[in-house]
Amino acid sequence: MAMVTPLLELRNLRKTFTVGPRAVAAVRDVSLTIQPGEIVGLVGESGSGKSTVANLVLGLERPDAGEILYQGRPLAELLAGSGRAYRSAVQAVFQDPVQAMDSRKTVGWSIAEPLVIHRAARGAALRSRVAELLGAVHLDPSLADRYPHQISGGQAQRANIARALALEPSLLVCDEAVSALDVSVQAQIMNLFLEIQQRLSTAMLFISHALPVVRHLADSMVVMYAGAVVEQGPTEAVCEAPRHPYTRLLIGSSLPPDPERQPVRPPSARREALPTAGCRFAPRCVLATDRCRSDDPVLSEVGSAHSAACWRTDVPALVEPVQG
Amino acid sequence: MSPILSVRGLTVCYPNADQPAVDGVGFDLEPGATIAVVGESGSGKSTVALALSRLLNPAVSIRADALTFEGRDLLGLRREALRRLRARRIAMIFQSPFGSWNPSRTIGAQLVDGLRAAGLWPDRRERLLELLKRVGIDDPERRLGDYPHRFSGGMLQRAMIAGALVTEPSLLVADEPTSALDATVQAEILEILDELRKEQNLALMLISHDLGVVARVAQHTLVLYRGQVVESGPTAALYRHAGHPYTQGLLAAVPRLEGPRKTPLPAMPQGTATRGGCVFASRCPRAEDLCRTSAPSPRHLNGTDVACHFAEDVRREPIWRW
Repeated sequence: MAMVTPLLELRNLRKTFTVGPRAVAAVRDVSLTIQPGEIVGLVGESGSGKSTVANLVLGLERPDAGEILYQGRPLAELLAGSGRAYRSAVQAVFQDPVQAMDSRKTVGWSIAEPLVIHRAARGAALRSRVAELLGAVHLDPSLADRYPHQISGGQAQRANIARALALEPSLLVCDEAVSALDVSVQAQIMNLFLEIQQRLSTAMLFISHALPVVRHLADSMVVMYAGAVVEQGPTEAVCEAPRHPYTRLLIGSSLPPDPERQPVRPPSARREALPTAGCRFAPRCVLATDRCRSDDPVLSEVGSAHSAACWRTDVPALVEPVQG
Repeated sequence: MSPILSVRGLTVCYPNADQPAVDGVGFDLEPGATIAVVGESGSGKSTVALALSRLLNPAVSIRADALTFEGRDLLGLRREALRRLRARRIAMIFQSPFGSWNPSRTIGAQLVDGLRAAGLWPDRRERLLELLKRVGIDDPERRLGDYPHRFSGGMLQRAMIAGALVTEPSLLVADEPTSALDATVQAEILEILDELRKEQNLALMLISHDLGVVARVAQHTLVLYRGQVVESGPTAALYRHAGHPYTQGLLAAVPRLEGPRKTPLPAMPQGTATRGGCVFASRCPRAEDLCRTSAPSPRHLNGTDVACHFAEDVRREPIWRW
């Protein structure tokens, strides 16, 4: 089989933050791969470490251990000089579209800024490139003269995406990029991301707490819990045949917009203190055994390109981890 | 059974606004029943909640043909009567777990404040501890001494629910009660809330943008758009036979776990406010001249009440499908 060099590879990343006297392992051991043009979805609840992964990829944080390879080259090396090549190739879209823009600058200025910094265009060429970028995200070119507070949240997020696309990146890191939007606007922005993938072959690391959103967009998925990857694989496999009890819990907690298809009874989500040994999910898991409480499970293959970190993957999905 | 809450023609105007935030909203809520007001940002859904408990600034104008709660006219109540009503009969919970608590006082002190205002301290002390356990706070006597920053968002919302229900109100107004929480926590809290609601015969008015939450919780649903109820009815009928283009557009825009993947979601176009005609006309592919000149009144149509001139056609031939 011909091996394609992955666009981005995270290998055994670790990142620990010190909060007062405590050390919090935000990312405990994360490995994942993004192929050129692929959308990789990253799901997990608050505190799972998914935004820390985003910040590590963006070079905003440095890992304590492990490495990130971009097109086969270590990120540490790519960022050693000015890091400009990497920073133009990897762009970010964040949750709050209005906060993400400079309130004192026009929308057009914000979109032009990366082009100016990277000396990619100036003068008339710069203006026409901004207009072209606005067009690419389906905004009227006249919006270039407005300020962020004069446009809607949906328009602001389109402008942020235009800015992210300005330097023709190969990877967009989208951290909850549609979470703050109304459903009708969310649908439009999701459609825009699909269009960008198809038209420009831009890869994305799409981070969200909303499983149906990630399922809709992502080619493959990574599920994180307490700083570690608990399941990963092609999106259909993970959503249709989830093997980790936490993935099953996430699916069972998702309330469909249909009164006639509600899950029977969602399981308890009571948080106990995270254990320091064994599977971090064990206190919430009805399948947990003594082994789960003492040995930390490692990711192991459960299907084609599909893996889960669980000692009980032999238990069929019919035994849903539902309590009560 | 007579409704516990009856609203007719509720209209709310903020000072200097050129259009009302809430425009002619009406509904009845029976004791122990659940109703949801669903809408996007700017639809006026939170303003409805605040108007009901008269929590809006006095400069905001509230008019209604009727606004009665347990037989009393809410608009005619004086300050002290309102205060008593809010302490005992109408409870509210809001979206932001951290914004709803005073960070400099313990959880216990703030819950006791609520009971004192209701004249129920210390009589309901045991009941409060029992409710805290029910909502999922283990060892409540110890946790009551904690300050809000020691709690997670989910734990604060749990404590908020216990505090809201300990006075045994007859109406709970919950404005996005679980929107800031993780999905697993949200599902559990909605379940607990529903159990307690049944036990206490509590009427629940849920304000939400989340069509999944509304589907799970509410028997009856109002769809609000630019301050107006565009469609209302039993939740099951409304989701199955949406007759208003906007209701269809909302339902079609939500990605679903069992739906298609990697294909464009049906997305309503954006539009501007229209004067004189249907509020949705500028975004509606079905709109005709009539829609731009004459505002449709709600009509009962096989299951739901729909404010659309062409509701029959729209239901037969949906504009947005899912």
